Amino acid sequence: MVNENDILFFSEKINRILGEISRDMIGQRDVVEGVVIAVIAGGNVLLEGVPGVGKTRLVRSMGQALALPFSRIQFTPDLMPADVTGTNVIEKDENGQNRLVFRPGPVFTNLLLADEINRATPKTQSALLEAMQEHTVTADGQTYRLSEPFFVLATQNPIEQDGTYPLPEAQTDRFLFKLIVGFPTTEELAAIVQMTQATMAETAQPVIGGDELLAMRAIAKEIPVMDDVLMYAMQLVSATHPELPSASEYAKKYIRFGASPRAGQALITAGKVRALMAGRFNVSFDDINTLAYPVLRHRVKPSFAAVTEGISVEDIITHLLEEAGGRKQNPIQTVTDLLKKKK
Amino acid sequence: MDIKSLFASFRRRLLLESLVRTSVISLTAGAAAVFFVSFAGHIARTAPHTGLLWGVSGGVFAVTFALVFFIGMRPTEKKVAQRIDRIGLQERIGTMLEYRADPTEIARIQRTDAVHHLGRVLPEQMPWNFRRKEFVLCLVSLCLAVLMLLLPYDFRLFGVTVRADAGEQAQIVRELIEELRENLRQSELEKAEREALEELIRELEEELREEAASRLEQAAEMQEAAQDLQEMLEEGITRDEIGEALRQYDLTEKLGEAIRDGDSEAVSEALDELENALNEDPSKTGELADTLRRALGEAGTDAEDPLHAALEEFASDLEKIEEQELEGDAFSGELSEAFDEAEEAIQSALERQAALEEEIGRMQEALERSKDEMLDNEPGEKPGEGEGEGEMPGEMPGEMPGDGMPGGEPPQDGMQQGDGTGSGEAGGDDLYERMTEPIYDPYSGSVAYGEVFASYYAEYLDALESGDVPQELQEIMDSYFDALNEG
Repeated sequence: MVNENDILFFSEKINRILGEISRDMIGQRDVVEGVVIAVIAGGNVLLEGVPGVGKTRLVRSMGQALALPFSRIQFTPDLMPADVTGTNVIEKDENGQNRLVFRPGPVFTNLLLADEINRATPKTQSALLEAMQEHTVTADGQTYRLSEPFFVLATQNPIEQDGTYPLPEAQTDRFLFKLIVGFPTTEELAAIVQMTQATMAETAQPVIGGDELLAMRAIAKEIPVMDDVLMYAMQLVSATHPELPSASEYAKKYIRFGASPRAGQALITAGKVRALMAGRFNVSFDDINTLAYPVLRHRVKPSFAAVTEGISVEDIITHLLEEAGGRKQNPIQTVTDLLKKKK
Repeated sequence: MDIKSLFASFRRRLLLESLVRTSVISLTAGAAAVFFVSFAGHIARTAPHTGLLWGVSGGVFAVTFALVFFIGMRPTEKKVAQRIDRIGLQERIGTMLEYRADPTEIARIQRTDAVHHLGRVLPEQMPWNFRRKEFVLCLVSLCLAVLMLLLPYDFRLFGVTVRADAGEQAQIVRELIEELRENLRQSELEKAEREALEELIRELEEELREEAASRLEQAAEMQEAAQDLQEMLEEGITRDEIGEALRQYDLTEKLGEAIRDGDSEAVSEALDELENALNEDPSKTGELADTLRRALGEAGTDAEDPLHAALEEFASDLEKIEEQELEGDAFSGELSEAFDEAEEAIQSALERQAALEEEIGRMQEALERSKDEMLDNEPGEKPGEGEGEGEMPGEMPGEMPGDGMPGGEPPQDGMQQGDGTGSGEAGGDDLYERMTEPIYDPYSGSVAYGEVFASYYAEYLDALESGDVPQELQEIMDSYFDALNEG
């Protein structure tokens, strides 16, 4: 059962993780927080951005800060599924007999960096499906369990780029978040250049082990969610489905496929972590509204009408939030604030 | 955890807000109810009773208030929590409320955190949640209701003439009926007369209230009622006929005069003189009885009329005395007794007729006054008065409406002037003067149709009821009055 010490432990660890990562990452605060939330919530993260904006650096820095076994796969068009999962090889035993021995692939780790995942063929991309969801790998009829915690941090280039293969829906759905890594501001860019003049290597120090990460995940799961917030999240997910009788005209026109139930799970699970990170012990509407973008943007497929009219998936989510009665939160006003205003 | 005390100050603020909003919404509904009732009244051309308007609006207000407050607006704990959360507490209070009975440690920590944050905010930070739309709607509803109640002029709506002064019209009718009833209550009439007048008032009330009539039509009904009263008066007051008949004979001339004038002292004196005369000459007893019977026969009054009956009884008593062939004191005694009884009966009958006359006079005055009010005349002003004009031909009983022009002017464009064949006269003018009057000038002392319409229309209704109007003319007459009425 969670107690106040656990909360203090969670708070301390979160601050240290964010502190270590910020040594290597300039700006991209939302992306960093998103990655940390997903890691604690036990979800996989898909980072999308043009080359050179720090996706891989962020993941590597995260790997260092977590002090977990870390693998990196550079996805290329000729990468085969066995290169990811591992394969059976013939080995001679002590008696000189040949035997098939399973040689684990890079997926057998705690933190897997799948770099430029959409440069591999869909077949190879799909090799990660089982690992991402069930945390197991099956080869030649033999199932192997991955060690916990396990999560995939994948990066991809925008699909408009040459030599990319869009991820299948089944796989994108297995990512808890899809985070967009934008181009840094001029000031951030200057700071990045300054930082990398000294060294290109990540400097983050390990602050948390696998067991501690699992403990933090358990703490976050205890956070209470009131019914209204839960229902609001579920209504938001339902609103993405144009085939439902309750779908709005907007959804029918601009959405081809809606989000799966995993989106609902993701909103609540991630909402709990976000609440704890904010020093709260309950999930708020604001958590749901904020997390709706990374949770839904890769699960909602815009229709042809949306594409032709230049309506992005973010626009669709914004509209759905407004339709679902997204509750804007005023910044908290304290007694001091009020007195100042009166004066 | 005592949620009530935690929420107390916030709840008070929300309660005030709820009461204001509920009142505004209920006021909107109440005003809308007034509007619709009043509108229906205008369409039906019957002004709704003030009590009905207040009752309906009050009822709708009360029901709406109860429904809106208890179903939608009452600040429940959950609503208070939601409103507090909206000032930046990020669902802390709502979660605390939902998990207030949860025994887990994390729920306890959450509750502690929520209470801590609740202490950092004040009820004044909760913005009022008044909706401008509700206030605007209420204002519009109130304006419409007031407008519908105070429509300043007649107008047509959906093809129906809506009368703005229906309320005043109904008020005149109501006051008239009340006055008539009050007068009757205070009068000293006998049961039969009282019942007859009550019946007349009841019928008048029905006529005035049942028909969604215009002012002119209602004035015509009042005129007709006044005429009915006149007929009742003519039937009920027999002293003129009987008195005149008695005056034709020497023996009863003085008695007849006294009865005609309704002078009780004169009646006593005349009877005393007659008694003395019979005592002096008993042979006149039979003559007096015969004279009384002949006079009654000539008067043609109803045998049930009290005065007629009193004199008839007196004649019978005299005949009996004569048949007994009494003499001396016995004769005088019987005669005295007969005269006493006769005097008592005659005085009683005369008093009864005087009371009836007085009562009918009062009622006619009230009807006349209400008719004038209905026609927007000054009280007491008669149609055709005030502009120096006499009554016109055709206004007199027995003539059809249209026999004369308003104001007694001759008809224009060569139309035949009313020939005055009825008992009426043209304001005292003789025939020569009337024939030499100039052609009708509509701008010289004419009388508005509105002032004579009521009497014309009443006459027409009478003629219609008695079958005097040929079938083929009825439609024309109806069109004529409809046109005047709408004009």
